[in-house]
Amino acid sequence: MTWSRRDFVRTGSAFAAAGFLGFDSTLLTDPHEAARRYRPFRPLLQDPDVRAIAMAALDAARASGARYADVRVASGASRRTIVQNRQVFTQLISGSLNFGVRVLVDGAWGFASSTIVTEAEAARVAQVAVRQSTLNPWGKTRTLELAPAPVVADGEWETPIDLDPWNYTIQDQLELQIQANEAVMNAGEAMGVPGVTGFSDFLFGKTDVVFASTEGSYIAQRFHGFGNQYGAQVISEDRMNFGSSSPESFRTGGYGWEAIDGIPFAADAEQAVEDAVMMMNAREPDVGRYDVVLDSSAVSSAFNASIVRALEFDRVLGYEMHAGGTSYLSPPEEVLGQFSFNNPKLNVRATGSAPRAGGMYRWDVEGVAPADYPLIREGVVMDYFTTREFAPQLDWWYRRNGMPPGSRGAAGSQGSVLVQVVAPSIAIMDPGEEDVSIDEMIAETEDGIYIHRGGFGYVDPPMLNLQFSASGMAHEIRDGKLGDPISQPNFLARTPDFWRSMDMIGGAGTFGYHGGGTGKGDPFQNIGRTVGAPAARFRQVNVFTYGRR
Amino acid sequence: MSRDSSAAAAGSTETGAKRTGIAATGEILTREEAEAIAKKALSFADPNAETIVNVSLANSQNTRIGINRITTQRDASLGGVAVTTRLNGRIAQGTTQRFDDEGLMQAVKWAEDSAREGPGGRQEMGRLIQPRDYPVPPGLWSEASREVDIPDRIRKAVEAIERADGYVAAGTLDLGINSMLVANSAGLVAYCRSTTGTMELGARTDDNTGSGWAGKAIYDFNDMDTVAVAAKATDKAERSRNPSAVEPARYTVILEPDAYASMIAFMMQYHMDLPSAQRGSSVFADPNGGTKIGQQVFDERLSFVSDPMDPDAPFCPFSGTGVPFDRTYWVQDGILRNLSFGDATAIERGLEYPLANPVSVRLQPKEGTELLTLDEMVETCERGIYVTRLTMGVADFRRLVFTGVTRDGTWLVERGRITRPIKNMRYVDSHMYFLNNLEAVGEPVLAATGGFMLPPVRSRDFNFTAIADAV
Repeated sequence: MTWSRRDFVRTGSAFAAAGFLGFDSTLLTDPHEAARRYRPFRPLLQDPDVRAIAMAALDAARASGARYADVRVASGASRRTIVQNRQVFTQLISGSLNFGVRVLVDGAWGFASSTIVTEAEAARVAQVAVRQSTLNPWGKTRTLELAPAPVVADGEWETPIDLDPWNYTIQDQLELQIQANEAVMNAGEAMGVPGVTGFSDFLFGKTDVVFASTEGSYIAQRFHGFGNQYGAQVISEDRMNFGSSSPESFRTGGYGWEAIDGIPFAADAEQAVEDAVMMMNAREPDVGRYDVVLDSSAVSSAFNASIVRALEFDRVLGYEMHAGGTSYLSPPEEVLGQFSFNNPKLNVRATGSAPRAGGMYRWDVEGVAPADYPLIREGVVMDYFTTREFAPQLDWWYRRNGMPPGSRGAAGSQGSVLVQVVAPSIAIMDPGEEDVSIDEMIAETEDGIYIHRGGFGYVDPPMLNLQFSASGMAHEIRDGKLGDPISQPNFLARTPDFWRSMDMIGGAGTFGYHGGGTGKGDPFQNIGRTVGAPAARFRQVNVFTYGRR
Repeated sequence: MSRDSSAAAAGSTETGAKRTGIAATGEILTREEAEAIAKKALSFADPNAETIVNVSLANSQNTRIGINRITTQRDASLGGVAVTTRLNGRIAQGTTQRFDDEGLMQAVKWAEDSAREGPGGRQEMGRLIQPRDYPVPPGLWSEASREVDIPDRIRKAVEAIERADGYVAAGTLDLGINSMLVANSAGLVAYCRSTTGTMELGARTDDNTGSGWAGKAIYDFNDMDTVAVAAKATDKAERSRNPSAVEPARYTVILEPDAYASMIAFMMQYHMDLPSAQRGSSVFADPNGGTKIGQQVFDERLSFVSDPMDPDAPFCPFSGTGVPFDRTYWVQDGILRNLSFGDATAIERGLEYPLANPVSVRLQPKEGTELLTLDEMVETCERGIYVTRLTMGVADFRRLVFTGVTRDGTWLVERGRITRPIKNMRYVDSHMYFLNNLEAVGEPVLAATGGFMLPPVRSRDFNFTAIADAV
C-alpha cells in the first residue's frame, strides 16, 4: 500500500475534514435526525471536495498519457427491510462511496476504481488505468475515435419523486410492512385459508453520481428508486405447490416514499390471497398450439428478453460472446433497413424519459443524453443502442439515411466501480393506433390462453430461441371468454416467428411500463431499466408444461 | 501494506520493488490493519449492544477478451465494513465502504438507531462467537498471485489469444486478492486472506457453425495455463462445426463438471437451510411434513461435503459472523444428513455455535466407486449426448428444476465414440434427477467458477425438450 493510502487509514478521508455529507454529532443521539440528514438535495456538483477528486483523477490520467478520461464519483445510501408475517428478517442501511476512472490511450481502454475517495487515491487509480491501456498490445493497432458528444459543463438532474424516503425512519418502514403483512394474514384467516404468509421486502435506494471528463463535462445526478416485493403466499397441504400474488397497486421503479404510502393494504389483501390460492390450485394446460393473449407486463417481458437486448450493439459485434451473449440482429450491414420481423404492427423506439421509470437518467454514464429515436419501424430494424465508442461504426448507415450520427446515450453500468457497457435506455413498443382492449382480444379468441401479471423470458445466447414462462396468472380462453385458471404455462418460439405471429395489438389503454434491463460484462453486471409495451395477441404459439403434476 | 505478514507483524513497512511506484496494485489489508479498523468501529458502539464488525478489502483485476483482442481491463480496490448490532432484542445492520472514523461511526449508528426503536422482539437473537483460533487453509493464499502485475495478466491473455488464432475468441481473465476480518464485542478476531483466479474462453469457427468453451479456476497464478484453456476451447469449436439435429427426447448424457456447476451453486445458495425445509419451501422439505434429513436424495455413491481445508478447493474457515466452518457432510452416501441452522437451533441442541453454510462444496464419489474419465464414459456409452455447457434458468424453485440450452460443444455418442456434433437443444431437468439416474462418475475437479469440486457424470434420461438451433 502506498503511503498516501496508509495515511488515509490512519487519519481518515478528506471528506471527514471537509465535512462531506454534513456530518453532525447530533445525529448520534437522534434517529429521526439521522434519517433527515439526507433530506436536502445537496448536489455533489457544488461540492468542492468532489470536484477536486474528479480533477485529480483526470489530471493524473492526462499527465500519464491518456488522450481521453472520464471519472465517476458516487455516494449512495439504501434502506432494506424484509418482514415475513410479523417477523423482521432484515433491517439494513447501506452506505457506499466510491469512484471509477476510465481512460483511453491510443485505441485501448483502461479502467480502475476504488472505495478510498481521496485525491491521492484518485491519482493512483487513474495511473493504474493508464498502465492497463498503455500495456495493451492492441492499443497501437487501431485508433478509437469516440463519437462527438456535446460538452455538459454543469449538468444537474434528480429523479422526480414526491416524498423523500429519507424523511421517514426505518421504523416507519417496518411498521407499514407489518401492517401490510397482517392484512394478508387476517384476510387468509377470514377466508379460512390455512398457512397464508404475508411477505414484504422493501428497498429504497438513493445515489449521487458526479461524472467528469477531460472534454470538460461535469454532471451531477441524484437517482432515487424503490424496489422488491410484497404480497401473499400460500402453500399446498403436501407442501409441493405454492401460489403467490402481489397486488397490482404495488409499483416499483422511480418512486420515493409515495410508493408505499398509499397502498390500500386491507383492500388488496383479500384479492391477493384469492389469487394466490387460485394459482396454487390451477391445473396445467394441455400441451399444444394456442393463440395467446399477453397483457402489457407479459409482452414487456418477452420484448425485453428477445428484442431489446438483441439491439445492444456490443452484443451485435461479438464483444459479449462469452458473457451476455451475441445477437441474431447481426451483422449490422445485413440487418439495418433489411431485417424484418415481417409485421408492420411492430414499432419500437427508445426514449430517455418515462413516468416513474426505473433506471432513468438525464445523462448516461459517459455524459450523453439518451436520444428519442426509432429502433424498429413497421417491423424493420432501423437502429441500435449505442455508446460513443460504437456509434462511429454506424456512420455509413446514418449518412445514407439522413439520420443524426453519434451515441444514442445508451451507456450504463451497475455502479461507478464497474466498466461502462452498452445498456438500453427506455425501450418502448408502441401501442396500436386503434384503441383495442384486452377484452376485445379475448372476445376474438376461440381457443387460447390469457397470460397476465408477469412472466419470464429465457433466451439462448443469440436470443434467437425464446422460452416464456408465466410467473403471475394465466387463464384459458374458450370461445371468446375467460375460462379456468391455468398453472404456469410456458411457450417456446423462435424470436422472429413469435413477433411475426403478433396479429392483434392493444391500444394506448393497454400500455404499461414494467421492469426490464440487461445482464452482461465481466464481472457480470445487472442493469435495471424500464420497458414499455401494450397488450398483444400471438397466433398459434407452442405451449408446453413442466409436467410436474 | 507489506506483502509479508511477518514483516507487518514486526512493524516493518517493506515495499517490493514492483510496488514502489504510485500506480501500484494488488494491495489488501493485513490482519493488523483490518483489526485496527474493526476495533475503531467497536469503540463507537453502544457498550450495551452486542456488536459484530466485518471488514474487507479486495483487489479485483480483470482482462476481457473480445474479437481476438484485449477489449477492456479493470482494477478495482473495493473495501467494505458491515456492522451488525444486537440491541434490545433486535438485530440491525449498517454497512459502509469507508474506513475513516466518520464512515465507521455512520455504519454503527445506522445499525444501532435501527435496532433501538420500532417493532421489536421479533427476531432470533444469537450468541456472539467467543474468541477462538481458526485453521489456515493450505493453498488459499498464493504470494505469486499477489505479485501479479498488469504485464503478467496481459501476457497470459495474449498467449490465449495467439493460441486461438484462426477462431473468433472472447473470454475473461480474472484475479482476486482478498482480505477479510471479523471482530465482535466479545473479543473475537478472525482474519482470512485468499487469492483466486479464473480464465474462461469461448471460441468460434470463422464460418460461425462451431463453438467451443473452456475455463479454469486457480488459487496460484503459476497454475494459470491460459494456453491449455484456449487449446481446449478451439478444439471443441473445430469439432463442433456443421452440427446436425437429433430429435429432442430423453437421452443418456455425459456432463462435464462445468455443465452443471451453476445448478449445484444454486442449490447450495438457496436450498440448504433447515428453516426453509421445515417451512416447506425448499427441495429438501418432505411432502409428508418435516424435512428429508435421513432420506436418500441422491445416488448412494455421492456425498456433498464442505471443508475449508479441502486441499483442492480451500476457502476461508469462518462465516461473516465468525461461525467456524467445520468439515460438514450435507449429503453422505446419497442420504441428506445436514441442513444449516441458526443459533436458536444450536442452543436447543446444546451446540456451541450454529451450522453455517459456506456454499463451497465437494461432490465426492464414495470410496471404492470405479471412477471413469470423460473419455472412458464415452467409450462405455452405447448412445448418448456429450454436453460441454448448459445455460441455466430456474423453472421450478420448489422442485429445483432448471431450464436452458446446451452450448459450446454438444455431440452425439454412439457405440463408444463421439460420432458427430449436434445442434443445441433446450432442456428441462435437474441434478435432483440426473444425480439419481447416475450411470458413471469421475474424479472431482475444480469448476471454472471456483469453489466447487465436481466430477464428470454420465446419467440416464436427461430431458431435452426442443431444438434451439443457434450457435
